[in-house]
Formats: sequence, C-alpha cells, structure tokens
Amino acid sequence: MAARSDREREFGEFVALRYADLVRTAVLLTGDRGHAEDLVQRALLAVFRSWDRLDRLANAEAYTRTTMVRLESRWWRRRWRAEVPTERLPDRPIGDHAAGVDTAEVVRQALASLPWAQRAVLVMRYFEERSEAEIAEVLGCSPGTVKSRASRGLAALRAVVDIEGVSGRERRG
Amino acid sequence: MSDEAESVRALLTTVAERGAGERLVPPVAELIGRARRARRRRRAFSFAAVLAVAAAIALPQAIPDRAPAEQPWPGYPATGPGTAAALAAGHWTRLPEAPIPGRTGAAVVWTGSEMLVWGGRVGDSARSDGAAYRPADRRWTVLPEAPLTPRTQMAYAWTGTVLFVWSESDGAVYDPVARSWRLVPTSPLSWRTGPTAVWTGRDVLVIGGWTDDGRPLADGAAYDPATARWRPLPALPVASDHPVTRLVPLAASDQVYVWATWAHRVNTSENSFETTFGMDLFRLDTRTDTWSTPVASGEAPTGVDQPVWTGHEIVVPAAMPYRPGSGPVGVGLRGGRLDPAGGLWRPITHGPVDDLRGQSVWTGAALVSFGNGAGAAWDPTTDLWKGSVGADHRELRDGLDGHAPADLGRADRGRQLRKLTVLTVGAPPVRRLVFRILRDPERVSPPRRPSSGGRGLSRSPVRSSGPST
Repeated sequence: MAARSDREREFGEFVALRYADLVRTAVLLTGDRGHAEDLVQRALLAVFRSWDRLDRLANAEAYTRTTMVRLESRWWRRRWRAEVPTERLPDRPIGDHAAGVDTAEVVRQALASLPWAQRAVLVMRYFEERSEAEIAEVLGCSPGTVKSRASRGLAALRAVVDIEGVSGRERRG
Repeated sequence: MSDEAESVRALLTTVAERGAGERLVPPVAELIGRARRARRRRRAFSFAAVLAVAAAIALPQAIPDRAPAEQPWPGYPATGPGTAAALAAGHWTRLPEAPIPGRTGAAVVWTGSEMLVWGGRVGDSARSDGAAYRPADRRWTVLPEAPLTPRTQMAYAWTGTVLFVWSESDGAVYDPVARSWRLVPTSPLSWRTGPTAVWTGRDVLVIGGWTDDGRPLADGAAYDPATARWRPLPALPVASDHPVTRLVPLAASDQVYVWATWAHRVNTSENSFETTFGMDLFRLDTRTDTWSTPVASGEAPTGVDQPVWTGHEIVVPAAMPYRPGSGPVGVGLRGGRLDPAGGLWRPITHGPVDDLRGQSVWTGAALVSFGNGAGAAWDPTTDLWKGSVGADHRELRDGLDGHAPADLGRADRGRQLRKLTVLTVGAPPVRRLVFRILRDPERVSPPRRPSSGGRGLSRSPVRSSGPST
C-alpha cells in the first residue's frame, strides 16, 4: 500500500509540475487545446502504468513526450481520409511582423496544414530541441528522413512567414 | 542553435502558449482515479480471460454438439470457394512480377476475367499508368496510355463493360475489350479531389470529395455510360446544423445508401466553443432520383468505412466511431448488418482484427478483414469469425506489419523492406483474393531497420467542448 501511495504521490507531483508544458507541446501536435489535453492525458495514463520502470521525473517527461508523439502518429495513420489536411498552405500575407498576433496565427495555420510527419518533426526539432537521431528513433525512420522532413516543413513555414525577420520581442510572444 | 532555429522556436512557443491558454489545471486526482479504474478493469479482464479459457476447454467436452451462436442467416453459400471455412484453409500464391510499380490510391477493379489497376501514387508522385492482370494465364499487360493527367484517390467504378475514372475536373472510361480510353464529357460537378463513385447498374454516381482548399463537398452527379451523359443529382437533404465532413456511398440494388458524417462547431463565448457531431444515413432511389432518410431500429454502426452490399443485406465492417479531429484509439469495435426490408440493425460479433483499422473484402460468401499482418474471415450465416487467413504467408505478415492494406504501398517496416500491394479483390460471383508482393525497386538497399441514418438511424449527436484557440 505504501508503494502504491508513493507512486501516486510522485506521479501527482510530476503531473502538477509538467502538465502545462506538455499541453503546449500537444497543442502544436494536434492543433487545438481540447485535443491537446486529450492527448496529454492519454499519454500520462500510459506513463502511470509504467511508472515503476521509469527513473522518475526526468525519464518520465521524455517518456510522456515520446508517447504523445506515438499516440498522435497512430491516430494519423488510422485517420479517415476526410481529415487529411490539405497540403496547400493558406493564402496569407507574408511576414507582417508588426502584428505578432497575426504572425502566430499564420504559423498555426501553416503548421496545421503540414503533413503529420513534417509537423511532428518541426515540433520535436525546434520546440522540444531534440536531436535528429532521437526524432528518428521516435518516428521509426532514418535521420536523413528527419532532416528532409524538417527541411520541407521549414520551407512551408518560410512560405508564409519571414522567419529570420522575427524580432526578439516577438520570440517571447 | 542557429538564428533561424531560434526564430522558429520562438514562433512555435508563441503558437503553443496562445493555443494552450493560461489557466491549465493539472487534473492530478482525475488521472490517478482513471489509472486506478483502468488497473481494476485490466485485472477483471485477466480474471475473465482465465475463466473464458477454462470454459473453452471444458465446454466442448461437456456439450459435444454445440448449436451455432445465433440463428443461421439464410441466403449465403454454406460450402465452396469464398466461404469463411475455405478461406481459412486456403494458401497464398506469389504473382509474377508486375510491369508497373506498387502504389496506393489507385483505381482497382475486377472485370470478371482480369484485374485493372490505373493511376494512384508512388512515393510522392501521382501516376497515369496502369496494368491488367489476368489470373487465368498469370499474365500482366500494360494498359494503353490514358488521356488523363496523373492522379490518385479518384472516383472509379466498373460498370460491367468499362472502367470509369473521374476526379478533379475530368474523367475517362477504359474499355478492356477494345483496349482503348475515351474521355467522358464535362461533368456538372465543380473541381474536387477524393470523390467516390458507385455503380448502380445504370449510372455511375460520383459524389463528395473536397475542394482545393480542403472543404468537404456534399453534392453529386450521375453519369450514364450508355448515353455518355451526365445529370446532376438533387442535393443531399442535410440539415443546416449538420455540415457534412465526409460521404460514404453504397449501392444496394436500386437504392444508394450514403452515410454522411458531420461536425458542427459553435463558439459559446469568446474563449470557448462546442462541437456537436454525428453520422446521418440517407437513401437515394435511383429510379426517381429522390432522397429519403431511412428509419431502422437496432444498434446502428457509429462509424462506417467500407460498407458492402451482399445481395441480401448491408454489412458494415467494424470502423472507428466518427469523431472530428484526434481521438482515442477504439477497442472492442464491432460491425453491423442491416436487412433493408426489415429495417433492423444487428451487431456483428467482434472479430480478431476489427480493432486494427484494416481492409475488408466481400467474397460473395464471407467478409475477409486484414490488418496488422493478420486476417480473419466472417461467416455471415453463423456470425462467427475464422482467424488465420493469410497467416501462412511470412512475407505478408512482414509487409503488413503495422499497416492497413490501404497503406501497403508505403509498407517499409518489413525486415527486408518489401512493398506489398493489394492488387485485386473478389467480387461476386468471383471469389478470389490476389496479392502482389515485390521488392521496392527504388529502395532495396541498404535495408532499414524494422522500424445515423437519416437522423432516424443515427446515434445521438455527441458533444465535445473546449476553449477556443
């Protein structure tokens, strides 16, 4: 019983500490907060089942993030054709950095328009700052594939936003 | 990190923070509660499984002659090729090398003597080539050049004499006897990708699809190959608060059934929204071109992907319940069957591959489902599944690993990087399954690591809600 309560206490601390950050990542992976919270909670339930095998907090976060990507990836592989995003990017004005709000919205739409694999690579590579080798391991592909997906994803973002022109203030949102 | 990488990270951070909002409350107690309940369910399931195994061992000895699980369903062959028993006892045969590369999203039909494959996608490129395979002499022939641009995910149907293909804004028919293509006249339909087609016995109905910017379309048109004329179909009678997201048609005798999934999002405040969604079923009487919303009782399927008309009834193989966007992976999925005359949906026994989102094929006497390297055949007479269809084929298992047959063209997780494509399926009265396995010529080395119905039939709309993004 003590082991169970220890496990639940540690898990609770982990969730309280990392939930918000995990949801932010999931928002990028799924496109909206409702689905993002669904995804995070499903991943956390999987983490809890494996809690005894993890090196607690540090390992748990990496495991949760990987589980999120794999769960979402599985959903995309099984999705209905109706929900295939268009590969055409939205026809939006380019690089109006005077309005940071609009830039973020354009980026959100561009991200949502990307094929799932490219979106996942961009999120893991640039938001989570994972290595290409690590991403390749998560997605079950070669580092070369990760590189090419990142390149195509970046090209798609560049098509709608002047990335290099983003100012330091806007970077902080 | 480079400047560009930092900029991208900054942009993504802004998007993530705005999307997640500020008041994120970690649901610690709820998660722990769900985890506890899940553990209790697993334990209960394990206990039940032990009991079930014990019963399975004990019961056959206690009851030597068991009755079928349900009252037998009449009208289907009890013996012969294509039955579940015959398929379970069958074996696989490798086809000769094809003259075209393996592909996805192609038009594939069985003509009664040969299989036609045209178009589709190889890697990132759409194709405009095709081939025919004749099982009688095990020979492939390349189809003549089509008068169409390369395309994938098109509407296609076999009319009994020609292969009809149409998408975007044009189409053509291929006559395998004359070995010639002919363009069809301009249709009344707008430009679209991903439409679907069904052959009614008189017309090809082309419906649905998506606009260039991804909006779903709910209109359709009928093409009569005898007169080479199109006529627009009346609009699907969808309610204004049931905006269609996808149409799945099925021709059943002189009626065409169309399942229409819909999702309706309403902003309930500046920062929140509510989405209702569901699935309606409509019926088009092809004799009068009139739509109706059939009413049936019983347990209608909550997801429809590959419905079949057996000649007696509509069979809907197990499919994920419809839900817009991402969602939990379903388990314990079951298909359904509807006798249109009786208006009663009956569930189908859960099959061994029903949760794998695989591919289903009607053989004329059984439903065969494949997924994740496994196959099973459903006997419509007894409502029982027979497993192990295809289990003797090691390469099939490798090639199918983790992929539904619809994705077989991209199946590259097999240890030796095989590409496997389902090239033909049986259609009554032909009862044959043929698969094609070949090495991907472009990527052989080095090997990579494995790495509801009218509203009368629909389930109640489901609601989900969340904060706006």
